Amino acid sequence: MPKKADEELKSVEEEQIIELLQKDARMPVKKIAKKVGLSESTVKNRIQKLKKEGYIRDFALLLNPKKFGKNIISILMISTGLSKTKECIQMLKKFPQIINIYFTTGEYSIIAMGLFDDDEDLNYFLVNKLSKIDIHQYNVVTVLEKIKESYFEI
Amino acid sequence: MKDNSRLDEIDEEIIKQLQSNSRVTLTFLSARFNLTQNAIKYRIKNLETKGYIIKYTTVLEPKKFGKKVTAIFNFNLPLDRIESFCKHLKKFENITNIYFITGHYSICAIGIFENHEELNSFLIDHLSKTSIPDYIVSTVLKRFKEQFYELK
Repeated sequence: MPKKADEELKSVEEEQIIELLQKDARMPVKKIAKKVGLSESTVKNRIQKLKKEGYIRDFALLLNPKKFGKNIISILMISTGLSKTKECIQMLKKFPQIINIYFTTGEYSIIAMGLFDDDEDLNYFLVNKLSKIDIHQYNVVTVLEKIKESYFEI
Repeated sequence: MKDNSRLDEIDEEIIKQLQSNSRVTLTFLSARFNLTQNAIKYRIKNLETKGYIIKYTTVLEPKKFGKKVTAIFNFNLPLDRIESFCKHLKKFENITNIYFITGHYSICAIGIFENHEELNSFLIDHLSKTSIPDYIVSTVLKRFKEQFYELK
C-alpha cells in the first residue's frame, strides 16, 4: 500500500535524475538538466526534494578498500541476550572497522560486516575490542571471494 | 600491502569531503584547501586513475521504493557446485551481495525484497530448482549501520 503512494510521488523525470546520479553522483546539474530536459533550477529543486523526502539517503563515495590496505572482509554473527542486544549494537556501531550492522531473525541476532588490514588486525579486533562486549555466542567467518557487492538500485 | 603511501594530507582531506557528500563542488573544495579548481580537479582525477576512488554513487532508501524486506542467506554447498551456483545467484536483481566465505556455510548473500511474499517466491520458485543441502534465511529487523569503506 505505501509502495504505490510513494511511487506516485516520483515523476518520470525524477526517476531519470536518480538513475543518472546512481551512475555518477558528481554529474553537474547543468548536464543532468540537459539530459532530462528540465531547467537547471528545476533539477536542483527535484534533487533537494528527493533528498528531503528520504528517497536519496546519501551521495556516497565508493573507495577501493584494498588500496587503503583493507584486505580482509569479515562477517561477524553474534547472539546476545535480548536485554543486551541494544547495548551491543551501540558499541559495535562505534567501531570504524564495522561497516554494516543488521539486527536479524534467525540463529544469530546480529550480523555485522567489518574491514580489516590482515589476520592480525582481525585478531586484535576480536581479542581487544569485541571481547569487551557482553556476547553470548559468536561466529566469525572471513570472505574468500567477493562475488557481488552492490546497493539497491532502481 | 598498504598502497596509500603516495596520498598526501590534502588528498586524504579531499577524500573525506567527498565521503560526506560526493556532490561537493570544485568551488567549495578549492576555497577550502586554498588551491585552484584545476589543482583540485587534477588531484581527484589522480585518485580515480590510480584506483583509490571507484565510483561516486547515490545511496537510495529501499523502503521508499517499496522494498521492505532485507534477507541474509547462508548456503552450504559442495565445493564443486559453488561456482555455478554463484553464477546463477548473481543474475537475480534482488541479490545485492554475494560472498564466498570460510566456516560452516560456504556462501553468504544479501537480498532486498518487496515483502515476505516476494522473498518466499524467490526461495520456492527460483532457488528450489537447484538442490541446496543446507541453508539459513534470516530477515533483517533493523539496519543499524550501512556504509561503504570510509577513510578516517
